[in-house]
Amino acid sequence: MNRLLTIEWLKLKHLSTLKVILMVYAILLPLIFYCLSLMPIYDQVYNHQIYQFPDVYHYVTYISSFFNLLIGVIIVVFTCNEIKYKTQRQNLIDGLSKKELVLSKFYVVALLSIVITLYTFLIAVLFGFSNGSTDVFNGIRYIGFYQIATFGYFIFAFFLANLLKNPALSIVFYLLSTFLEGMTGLFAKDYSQFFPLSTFSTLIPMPLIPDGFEYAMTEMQRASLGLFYVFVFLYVSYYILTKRDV
Amino acid sequence: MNKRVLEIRNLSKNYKNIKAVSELSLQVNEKMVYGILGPNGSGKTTTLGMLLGVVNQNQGSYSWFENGNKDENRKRIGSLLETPNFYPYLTAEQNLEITAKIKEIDGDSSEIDRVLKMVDLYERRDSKFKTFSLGMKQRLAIASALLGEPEVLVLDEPTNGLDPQGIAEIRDLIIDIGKKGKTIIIASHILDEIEKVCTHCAILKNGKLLRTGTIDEIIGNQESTLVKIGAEDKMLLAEIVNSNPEMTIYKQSAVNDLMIISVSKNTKSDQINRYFFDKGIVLNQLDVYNESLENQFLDIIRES
Repeated sequence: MNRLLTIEWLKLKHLSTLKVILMVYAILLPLIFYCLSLMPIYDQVYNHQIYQFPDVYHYVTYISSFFNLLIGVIIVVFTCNEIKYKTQRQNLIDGLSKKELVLSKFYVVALLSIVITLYTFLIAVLFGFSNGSTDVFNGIRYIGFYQIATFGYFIFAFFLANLLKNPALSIVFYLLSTFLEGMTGLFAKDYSQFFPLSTFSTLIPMPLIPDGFEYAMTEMQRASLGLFYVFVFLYVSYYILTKRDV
Repeated sequence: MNKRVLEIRNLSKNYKNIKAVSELSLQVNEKMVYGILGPNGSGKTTTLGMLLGVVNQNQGSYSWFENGNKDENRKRIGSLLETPNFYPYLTAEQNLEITAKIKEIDGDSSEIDRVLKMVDLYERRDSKFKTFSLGMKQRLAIASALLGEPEVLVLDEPTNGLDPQGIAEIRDLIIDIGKKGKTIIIASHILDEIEKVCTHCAILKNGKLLRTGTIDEIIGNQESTLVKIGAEDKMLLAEIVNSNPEMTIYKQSAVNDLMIISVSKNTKSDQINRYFFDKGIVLNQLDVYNESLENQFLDIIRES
């Protein structure tokens, strides 16, 4: 694992797009929460409760998840670059196996999702304490769900890029995928909540407004199904690669 | 006998209805400099692609180092396949660091410096790959193949995109490496290249193996000998040649009075000289013409 991560690190550390997007992400996220907290509605209606434990975990992870599209796009670009530059081919020729090729990207995606989750956790904790609450472990399970959801969205980005090979096409599909899955869901209403992207998104449902949605699964079941989909996307990506002439 | 480095059995690859490679079988032993020769689209790159694990074969098998088709075998092979593939936003040195890591070549940057010096890119080691000219990219790919002194080099059109000086340098480099006892497999459509650097050669056309052997075998494997002759009276010379059923004009120069004729294999020069003298013409030139591999190659391709 160390070797594969080192190889990926050598590729990524000089990629300026990645640095810029991560920087934007890191600055934008706390800034937005700070600005949102200044809105009068939070004082009047919610009495700043959503910036206190346990609600802060739910609220912060929900809002952050929108920004994960940014990271998903980086993953798409990074994966498609390897195909476009034929460096994926070269990595194979130089001695990586197809399994290692997929695993190395899996590690990057896993690491990115862990870093993002930790950062989000940090922001939640910061806002929780600064709004006078101390019950830090209350509601922390949302961080765990958030970890699985980001992991899912990121590995889905990798899967799409690997499948379509074309960055523009993959980005468009990535941005439309939730919508497309929703459309499909209309024809299979009873099962739509078991679809992969729905599974990821229902891990962090919309806060503040009860959605009245009836979940067939408990939170833990949804989390397990989410993890299952992560491995499905990973395995199918590997399968596609083994069948393909690189 | 030298150790077997590569064994190919009945390797085939189809792209839809086109047979890119068809039931190819070859053996390459240690210390051979093996040329794979063929016109464009003859299946050279597809074959190497299969041997290097990036193209899935439809049929057949191959084995490197008598160790099957395991992925780890490729770490012992330095390869340049088709185009130089590097990360454009990384420098020459950073790109080679990645190769070294994949091949598990331990040690410091001295190995990277060594190969960069060999291909004359050391001064440009800190320049990004995207700023390189085509020739420099090709040289970086060769440096990458040389990294870690692999037991086998696989080079697909290694002098592609190089200027004449670069071509000469890379050829000398390949010859040097061959002399050190490394096994080298070169695919090329440039016959001159194969002739100059290889000990053995396989000729491919339309994915089929036409001929294999040592370079000498392939060149010497002719029914007739070619002789270059010349005389003052070109017309008469041609007439005499045409009147003899054992001689044919193989090629006639447009710019001077020389012509190349083909005679039966064991004819000696003095016999030829005497024959023309008896016919009343004095030759001002008479040479056994050592046909280059190029002509042989064209003949072989034409015959099939």
